Amino acid sequence: MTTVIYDPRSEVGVPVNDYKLSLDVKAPGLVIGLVSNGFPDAENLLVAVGRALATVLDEPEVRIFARNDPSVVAHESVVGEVVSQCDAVVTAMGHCGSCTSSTVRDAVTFAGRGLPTVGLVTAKFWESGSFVARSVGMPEVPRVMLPYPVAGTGLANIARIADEAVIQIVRRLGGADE
Amino acid sequence: MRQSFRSFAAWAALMSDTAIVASEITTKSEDEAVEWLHANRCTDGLPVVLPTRSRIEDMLFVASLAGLDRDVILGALGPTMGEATVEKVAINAVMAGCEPDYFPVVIAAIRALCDPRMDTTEVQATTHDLAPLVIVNGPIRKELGISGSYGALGYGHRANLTIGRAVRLCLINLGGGWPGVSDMAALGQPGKVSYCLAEDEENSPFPPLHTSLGFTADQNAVTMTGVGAPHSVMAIHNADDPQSADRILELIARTIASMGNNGATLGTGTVVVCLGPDHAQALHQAGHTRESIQQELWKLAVNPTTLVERLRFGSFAPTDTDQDAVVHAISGPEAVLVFVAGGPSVYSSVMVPWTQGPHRNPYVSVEIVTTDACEVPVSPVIT
Repeated sequence: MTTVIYDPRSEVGVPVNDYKLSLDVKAPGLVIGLVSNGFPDAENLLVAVGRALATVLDEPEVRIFARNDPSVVAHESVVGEVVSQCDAVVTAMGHCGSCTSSTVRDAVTFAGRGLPTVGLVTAKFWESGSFVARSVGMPEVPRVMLPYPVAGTGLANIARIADEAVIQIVRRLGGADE
Repeated sequence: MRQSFRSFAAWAALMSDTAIVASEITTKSEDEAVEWLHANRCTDGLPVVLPTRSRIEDMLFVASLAGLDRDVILGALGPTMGEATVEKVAINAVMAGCEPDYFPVVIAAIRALCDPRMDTTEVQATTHDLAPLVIVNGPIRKELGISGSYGALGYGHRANLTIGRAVRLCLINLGGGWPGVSDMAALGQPGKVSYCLAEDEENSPFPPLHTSLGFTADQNAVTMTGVGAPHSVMAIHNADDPQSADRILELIARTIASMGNNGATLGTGTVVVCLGPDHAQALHQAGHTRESIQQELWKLAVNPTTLVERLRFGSFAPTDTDQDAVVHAISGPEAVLVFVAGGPSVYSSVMVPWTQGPHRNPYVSVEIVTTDACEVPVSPVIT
């Protein structure tokens, strides 16, 4: 005799939007926004990413937008500043549960405003970042995987991580698939 | 109501031609149905009561008494923002093992959880071990047997466990929570399976908690907030010691301000203080009220700023900090929920918050509605 039960799950409440943005990474003088969520060493990582970007892009200008509140997404006023000033954005850092959520949500917000975007997420929180990306309606928002841990590993190691990630960051900003 | 309600439900089901909206899953056996729920991450890892049509209809009948149709949307739960319809919540309450009579409490808890101030997107995601705690007040506690006494957060209390479990199943199935994927709690804690208790209003010298939050004593209410696991606080009262009440308060405050707690550094969020009835009586006899206890705990739960900075920043700590400055572990007296629960003993318990998220870990209270019936005056019979 068969048993009939009813599905206890709800559908994800946010529809899916495609990500189709790309940056002309060969253009000179690009302004790249680096948005830190305030997780320990996120800003240090982005400073190092900014230095690394200067070695592979044509005289870019990097601008840091830092907050000290990793569990919360970027304030609308900051989003407005970034969108008005920058050609592309790198968000960081996915290194815990809520900060992965906030940095991926930031990336989706900027992408939704038309800015090519990359979120930096550590390996241990990669799956969580993918879940968040789908939850907020942009599963393909570009992300680059960093080793875990980044925070607390010292400035020299953080600089090395940024140097190793920069090519992938530029590829994703340019519209390449993962 | 309990004895008669199944026949009412059967009657209501016969009278109703509305279908359950949720997708049907047909399996060859009950065992296969249980396995399907496990395999699809629809349970908390424990066996569940199968959500069959008749069991779901029993829940929905109780909801209908409160004026709630099956398609009413109570809100959405993050991070996936799945809709919490009455029907979906009913399915999860069945799976949790709730009696239909418990359903109004589950509905109130889900209403509270769907309040945007509860930040379920961030609360589910964090590596902290917090879980939504359900505190029940009002006459319904006794009617349903929701314990606020010995072992209220332990085993053996069917209503406590199944109501709390229904909340967790909704967080899984409606909000998308899953350990290591969307719920990144580093270790977690048993309250993430079920975290529900009542206030022991009968053994409290203070007014019931919900009356301090805008309800009347004869109303039923749930109060919810996200907190970590309980920390026990041992304090031995001595009626001959004029400092006895002060010692109890200081021990509770030092537990709240323990340096490993997020609040010790960040000083936000809701702190839950379950006073054991003996401690509550001792504080009451010393002249304390709920408000004075909140005030004292806020004042006492502090650490020197130099200590906070040293333990947070190590050798990078500022060197010019005022030696007399302190960091409060609580944002203000109103951020402490003080109520009486637990068996008579030398113990109270403290649950401390995550402190984070856009709304900073507040509490939300919602009335438990069991009926929408109006009192209809009956005309006197004239003979």
